[in-house]
Amino acid sequence: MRYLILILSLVFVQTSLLQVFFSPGFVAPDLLLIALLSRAYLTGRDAVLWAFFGGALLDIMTDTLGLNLALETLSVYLFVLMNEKIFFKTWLTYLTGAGFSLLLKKVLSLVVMSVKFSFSFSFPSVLLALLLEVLIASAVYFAYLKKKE
Amino acid sequence: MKGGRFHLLTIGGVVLGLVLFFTDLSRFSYVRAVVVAFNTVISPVLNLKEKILTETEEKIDVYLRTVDVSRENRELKERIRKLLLREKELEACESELESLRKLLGISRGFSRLDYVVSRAVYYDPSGFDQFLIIEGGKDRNLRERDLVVSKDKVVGFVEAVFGSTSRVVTPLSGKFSCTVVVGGRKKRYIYRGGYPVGDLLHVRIEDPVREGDRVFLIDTEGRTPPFLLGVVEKVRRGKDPFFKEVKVRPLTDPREAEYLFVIRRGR
Repeated sequence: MRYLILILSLVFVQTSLLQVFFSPGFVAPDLLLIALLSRAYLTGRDAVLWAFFGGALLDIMTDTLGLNLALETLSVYLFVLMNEKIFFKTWLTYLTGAGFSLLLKKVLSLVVMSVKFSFSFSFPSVLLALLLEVLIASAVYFAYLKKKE
Repeated sequence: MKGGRFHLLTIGGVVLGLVLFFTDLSRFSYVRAVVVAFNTVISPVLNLKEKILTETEEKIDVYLRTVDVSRENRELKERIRKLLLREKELEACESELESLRKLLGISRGFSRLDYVVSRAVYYDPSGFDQFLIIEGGKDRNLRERDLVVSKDKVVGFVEAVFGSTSRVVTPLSGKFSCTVVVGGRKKRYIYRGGYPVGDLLHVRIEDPVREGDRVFLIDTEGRTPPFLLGVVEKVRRGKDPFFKEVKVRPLTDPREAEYLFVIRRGR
C-alpha cells in the first residue's frame, strides 16, 4: 500500500510539476522509473508488474497511451536481468544498471515519440534531466537501498 | 515469477504498449467507452494536475519575467549612469571648446555653408598639380574665388568659370594666395602658393612659427570654419632682418579627393 501511494505521488509530481521545467515534457526526470528500479533492486522480478501499472498510469496522465507502459517495463526488465547476473552488489553495480536503464528509457522515448510526432528538443535539457535522474538514483541508494540490502 | 513466464509477460507488455501507442487503439469506439469511463473516474485528479501545471507555468513565467525586468532595469541603470558620465564629459569638452574658441577668436556663427558637390574631371598635365578642372560652372552658379575643399583640406580656389566646368588653382600654384593662421594662434598671415612649397609672407622674427606647425586657411568674414592648408616645412632667417622666411608644404593632393566641395562665397 505504501508503495502504491508512493507511485501515485511520484506520477502526479512528475506530470504536474517536473514536466513544466522541461520541453518536451516527457524528457523530464523520470521519478517513477527511479522508484521502480529501486523496487527491482530490492524485490527482483516482481517490480515488472509495478512497471506495467506505473507506466499505464503515467500514460493516462500524459495522454500517451502505451509509450510509458512499454518503456518503463522494458527498462525495469533489463535492469532486473542485469541485476540477476551480478554476484555482488555495490553502489557502482547499482548505478551502472540504473544509469543504463534511465538512459535507455530517455533515448527510446525520444526515438519512439519522434516516429509519431514532430517536435524539437534541446540536448542540454535531456542531459540535465538524465544527470538529475542519476543523482536522485544515487541519493536513493545511499539513503534507502543500502540499509535494506 | 519464474523462467519463461516472466520473459514472455514482460516482452508481451512491451509489445502491447508499443502497439497501443502506434495504433491509437484508445480512439476506437469500443475501447473509447472504457477510456472515457476511466477518465471520468480519474478526472478530478487530471483536473488537479492540469490546474497545478497551469499555475506552475504561470508562476514560472512571472518569475522569469521579473528576473528579466530586474536584469533589464540593472542594465538600464548602468547605461544611464554611463550616459550621465558621458554627458558630464561632453559638457566639459564643450566648455573647453568654448574657452578655446574665445582664445582663438573663432566665430561662433558659422552660417550654414552654401556648397556644391563636384569632382575633378581634368588634372594639370604638367604633373605639378597647379590647377585642375572640376565639374560645374556657370550652370551651377559657381563664381571666381569660390573655395574648393575636400574633407577638411583646402584644394584651391575657383579661378575661372566656364559653361559646365571650372578651373581651380591649387596651393601649389603661384597664382594662389589667401589669409591663413598658424597653429591655434590668432595672428593672420598671407600664404602665397608655390611648387613644391609655398611661402608665408611677413612673418616677424619674434613670431613663434616653428617647423611642423599646421597652417589653416581662414575666412576673414568668419563665415566658414578653418580648413587645413599645409604644414610649416622650413623656417629660417630671411634677407630682411625683420622677417622670417617660412616655407609651407601644402597638404592638398587633388588626385586623392573623390568628391570636392565648392563653398560658394557670400552673394
